[in-house]
Amino acid sequence: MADHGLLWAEFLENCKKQDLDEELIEKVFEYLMKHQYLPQGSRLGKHIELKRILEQTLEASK
Amino acid sequence: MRLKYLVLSDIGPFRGRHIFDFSSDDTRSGFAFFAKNGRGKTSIYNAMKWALFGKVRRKSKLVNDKVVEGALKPIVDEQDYDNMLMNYNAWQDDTPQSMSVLFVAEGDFGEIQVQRTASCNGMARSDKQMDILLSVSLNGKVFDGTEAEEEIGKVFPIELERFFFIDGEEVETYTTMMKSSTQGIIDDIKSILRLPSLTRGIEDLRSIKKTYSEAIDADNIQQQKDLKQGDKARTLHGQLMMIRKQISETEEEILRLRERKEEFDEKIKGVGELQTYADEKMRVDAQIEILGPAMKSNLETFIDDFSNAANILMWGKIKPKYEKTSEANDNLQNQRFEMDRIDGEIRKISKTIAEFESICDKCHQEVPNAEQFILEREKELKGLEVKRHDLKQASGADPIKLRAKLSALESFQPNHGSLERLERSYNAQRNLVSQLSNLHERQRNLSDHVSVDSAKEITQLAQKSARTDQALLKKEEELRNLKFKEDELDSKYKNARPSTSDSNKMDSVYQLRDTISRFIVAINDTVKSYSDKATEEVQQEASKVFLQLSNSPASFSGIRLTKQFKARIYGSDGRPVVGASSGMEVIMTLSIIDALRTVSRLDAPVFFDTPARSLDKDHKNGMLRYFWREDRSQFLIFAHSGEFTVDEIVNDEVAVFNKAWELLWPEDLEETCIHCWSENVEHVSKHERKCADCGKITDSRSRNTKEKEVVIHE
Repeated sequence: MADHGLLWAEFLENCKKQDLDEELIEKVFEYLMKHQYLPQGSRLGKHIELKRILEQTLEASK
Repeated sequence: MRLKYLVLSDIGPFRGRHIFDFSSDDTRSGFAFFAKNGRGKTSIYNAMKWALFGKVRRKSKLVNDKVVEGALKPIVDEQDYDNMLMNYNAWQDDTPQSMSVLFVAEGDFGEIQVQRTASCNGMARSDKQMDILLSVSLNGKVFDGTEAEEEIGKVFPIELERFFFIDGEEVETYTTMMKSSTQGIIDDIKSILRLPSLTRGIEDLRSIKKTYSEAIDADNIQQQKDLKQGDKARTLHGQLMMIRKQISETEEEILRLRERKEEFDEKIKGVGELQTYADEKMRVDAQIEILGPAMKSNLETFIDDFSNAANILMWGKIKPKYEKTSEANDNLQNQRFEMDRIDGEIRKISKTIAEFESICDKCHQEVPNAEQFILEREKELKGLEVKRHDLKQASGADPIKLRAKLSALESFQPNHGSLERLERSYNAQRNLVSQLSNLHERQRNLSDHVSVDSAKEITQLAQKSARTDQALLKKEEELRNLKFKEDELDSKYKNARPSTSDSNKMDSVYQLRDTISRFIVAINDTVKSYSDKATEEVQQEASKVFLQLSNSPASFSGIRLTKQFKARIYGSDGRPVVGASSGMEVIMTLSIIDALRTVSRLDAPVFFDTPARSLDKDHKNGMLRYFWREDRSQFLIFAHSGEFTVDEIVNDEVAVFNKAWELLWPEDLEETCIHCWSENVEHVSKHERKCADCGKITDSRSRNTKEKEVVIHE
């Protein structure tokens, strides 16, 4: 993962406070960074990607 | 992102193709373009913007503290030639017409090549008549259209434009925006700090959460419907859960028993040697036990056989006498038989003699040699009588006495095979005694190895292992029965359960919705905490840069930023600086921009057009020294002759750039060829000079720019 410095540190800390799995946190963060500049109107297709990340990671953790 | 090549074709004053090579082993970040006005500094700056974003705006303005974006710059413009992006000559002379920008860059993402082309088959009178083609190749994978725009957006988003394309003429506008904290700058700062990644992420998550919530709502409605018909299913489910609990317990019990058995087996294995001795002892004991009755039986036979032993022993002595007597008896018998035979012969011959007549009965004639015949018979008779007499003389013994003696001797003769039987039973008995003796010896030896206690322990362990085995078999049987019941109940439950609700799936949906909710909370918290901390970090970093760029650092403590990113310079007395110079404020703005890039970890080249417009010499040189360092993001300046000249920066020792170019028109060079930079030229007319080296003509009226790389001779 690219160096995102403070943003990643804060995100990780706040996600951990919510008892979220670190692997999932990292994947969600990667998704956020990958599409960070994609405007809201163009993001609909990307939701599926995020949904898949969530579902697959949770399924794998069972 | 690091720019490697930039290729311009028919853009601004650049007629034809012009290649700028930024690649080098030098790690310094500085690049520079030096030129007088109109030579194409801003055209290069705009060409990069156009390649990345597909549009170039005129400068924005501040009207009543509000940013008013400039209008779009056209590719071609019949009304305003100076304002268009395309090269005028190409537009006027070429058919078809084309303008293109290509650049190659590399970064964390790999290598990207972007080419944007505007073309028209005829003479384009407006941009609407131009075909715009975008092609992006990312690590060899080619994209076009919207996909290509998206790929560029990932590498260099338009939201960052303000912080990476800095127009010196606009810095003062930035400064005003930062001082007054206008919404435009706040949004841009949030962008560079990547806050939209979080806020947009929240929207994405909310959108996904909504689909899960809808699924949950639909399921709840269905469950309510199912509730009425679900009593049976619930009962079965309860039973199923009970059975599953029992299965779980039984499985645990089996596990425990297996562990226990393994423990016993392990212990038995541990006393393995003793076990061997114990087994051997058991075998010896068993053999001794079997040998006892065998010996008793054999002893009886032996005793029985031994009763003939006296006879056998006596017979050993008597037997020769018996055999002799028997022989004598046999001889006597033979003599008697011979005598009887001789007596029969004598009688027969006597009769023949007595009855013999010398006349034949039949023929009544005298028998020839009759006398001779009688004489021979009488001689024969006499011989027999002598033989009989001899035999009688030879057998002097009394046959009756001899038979009595023989009979008496015979009474001592043992039964037939008695001796062999006696020998056999004796040998057998001896063997048995020997075996028993050996076994007793072995038993004693084994007893030395296997104490009574350890043998008992082994026996107990074996018994426990066997008992555990039995318990295990019983539990396994129970488990089979329970699983059979479970299958039965599960099948019944599935049939009875409303088919519309998949509890596993719904569990996952609830879990996903919960996870998303937690992510939303975490991201909201991050937006707050990160904004505060990032502002703090930007403030610290900007102050550091500001003090470094300032020509009187002792007078200032740095820059302070409010939560709304309102910026202010503070003096070393802790008070805000009132009436700061415009140069100071520009340095403040540049410091904040640089700090924002540092904090957000964004690595992209900075394009700075007319960088030193409002700066004095110290600030100008300070800026170059700061930004033109090693291992920073590339920093490209587009300086006009009033700001920097090559000679100036060489003299001021700030020519620490990686590469630099001068952008020139023919009129900038009096005695030099614009094509090959040779000074071996000859004026052939008022405006033209011919190069003796390349043979080309340089027309001093031409406004086509040519780039010349600056070489610093150290």
